[in-house]
Amino acid sequence: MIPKPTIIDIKSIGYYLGRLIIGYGLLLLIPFVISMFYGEYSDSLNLAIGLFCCLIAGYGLLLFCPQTSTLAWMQGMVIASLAWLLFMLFGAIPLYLSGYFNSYLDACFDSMSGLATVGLPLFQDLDHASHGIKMWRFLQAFVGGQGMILIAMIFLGRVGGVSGLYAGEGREDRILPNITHTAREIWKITCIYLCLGTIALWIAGISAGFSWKESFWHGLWLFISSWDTCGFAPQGMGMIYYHSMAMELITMICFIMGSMSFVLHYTLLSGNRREIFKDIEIMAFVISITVLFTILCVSLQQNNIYPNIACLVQKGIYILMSAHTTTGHQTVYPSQFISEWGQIGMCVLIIAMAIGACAGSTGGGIKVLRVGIIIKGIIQDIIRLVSPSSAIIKDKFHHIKDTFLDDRIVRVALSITFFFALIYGIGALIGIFYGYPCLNAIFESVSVASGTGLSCGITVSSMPDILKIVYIFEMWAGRLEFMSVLALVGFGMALMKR
Amino acid sequence: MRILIILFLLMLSVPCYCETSGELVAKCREYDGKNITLKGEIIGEVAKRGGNAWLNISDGNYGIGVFAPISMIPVISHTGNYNAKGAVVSVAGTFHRACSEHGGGLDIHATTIKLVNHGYFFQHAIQSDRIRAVLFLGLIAIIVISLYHLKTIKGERRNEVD
Repeated sequence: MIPKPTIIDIKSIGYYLGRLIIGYGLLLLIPFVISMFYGEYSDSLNLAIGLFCCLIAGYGLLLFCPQTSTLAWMQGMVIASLAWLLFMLFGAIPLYLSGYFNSYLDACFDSMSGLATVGLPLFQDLDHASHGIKMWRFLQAFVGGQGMILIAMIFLGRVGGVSGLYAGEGREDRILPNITHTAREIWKITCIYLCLGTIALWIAGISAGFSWKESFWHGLWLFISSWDTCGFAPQGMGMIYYHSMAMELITMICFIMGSMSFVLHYTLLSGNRREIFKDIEIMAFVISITVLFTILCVSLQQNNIYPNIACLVQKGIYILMSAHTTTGHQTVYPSQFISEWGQIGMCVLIIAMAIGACAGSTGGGIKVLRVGIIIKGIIQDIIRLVSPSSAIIKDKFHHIKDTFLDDRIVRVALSITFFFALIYGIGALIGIFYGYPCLNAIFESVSVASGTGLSCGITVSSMPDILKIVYIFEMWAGRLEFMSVLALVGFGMALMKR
Repeated sequence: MRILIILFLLMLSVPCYCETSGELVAKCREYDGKNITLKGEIIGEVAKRGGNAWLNISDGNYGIGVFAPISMIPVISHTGNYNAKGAVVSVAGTFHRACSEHGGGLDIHATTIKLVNHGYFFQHAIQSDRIRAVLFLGLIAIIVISLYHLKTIKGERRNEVD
């Protein structure tokens, strides 16, 4: 039972939201400077309008909601869910003004798609977009992937109770006991990989025949997009534009690493390399990939889709990994999923997307760890059933540390899985209602809610507005993993209590 | 009979003209291995690799990769980006649904590339209402920020007095 929020609670939420919006708005300075550097003055103005709107809204909130107390857990959750919606609305302003969207709703869709690291674009004519606008889209993906805890850390200064914000974004694992220190470590790990990944993609771009200047930007953007498992691309053709196996390979390494838990990265970087062979999540991930890839290969081979095994493996593994890590980089055209990959191929991708990446990573979906826990829980139950009633059955799993598998852990994993299944189903049903074929509607809905962004062609600007709104909700709820969304609903209901 | 055979061979050798990249992608099995012609704007950069190059052409629907020897590519002054409308070319060549040479990708191996137009630079007009909006919003932002800081300073002074 949530107690009725007081005016102090509301002002506290307003205060922290204001600070977050200011921080988010200040990020617009980066694309603004890039736009000015490239002489893209028209888009510089659009970015400046977005920046000023954020500053007015942010400082306006600070003016009317002075700091009253440190953040309570519940307030942190409410802030996390509201901040994502406000980020979408403010982030969409420069996108819409740039003229590349048919409506403000489309711009909001694209903005949420970046923030939730889905990577499904509704961008019209991306090939003629400015560097500034492209940078803003990738920055949004970066903020969304890393989590706004980073913005909070940079722009909120020392804030008590940021754990609510951290958990509100669907994060559970902690590298260090302190959340701020954990966020700082996540930031450090990302910076190390950002430098390495960008340089690798930059060199790959130059060796693929592109100019060094554009290769740098494409390298940076592709790294952000891959590491944060977003799947946005700087060109309308996506990864097809590059015709480069080296770039495909590097992006694949980046998104596999991005889909791994930050805690695991920290443990590996600390020198504990054996951890990778013991972790239940990595084991489950490898098993899942192996099984799904085998089915996919048999299906593609039977349908004679690719001329040789090398092509089959190259296309198959890239798209399957892209789906399983919830990245969404595509090396085939959307309609080819339907016309070429067939029903089994699409089903394999749906399962991969639905399971998703590792917990505590930038990826989405149910998460491999939860699936591993549920399977272990089922096995434990079966053993209990066939064992004598006096037998004490205890099982444990290893994820960073050994943990006993108790009913509470399995129940939490099942609850989150249930909510994911629910929004996968709702999105699919609404898609079917609008006349899309069943499998296509399921594919797109799972892709959206799991934060993958692979498309079989439903997500286009001309799709019904209601479906766009449903997909925006799916992206938002899926990225936040429901907890903070439910907290917001509870908060709203408590607010209306007499 | 001989005439019929010649006519049949002629039919095979005539390129199959298609209107859009959308049609090529949607009916990729139908067009696989056939000679096609596609007209579109060159987008992004032309990637030169050894004696060959990749160019991506878009007719507004899909972008499709075209693989061609560098010697075949006409002099291109503009490729499509923020500041330029790229040169429009008409590419005749063999369409591959899943090219065995290039990792199973959908592409066209060009036999001829004709320049239709050179493309052109264009300036994005700066709209005066956007400048007015920036000035107006900037002014409001300054006022709101100033008010906030004034309020904070006042609050701090009050705390000091207390």
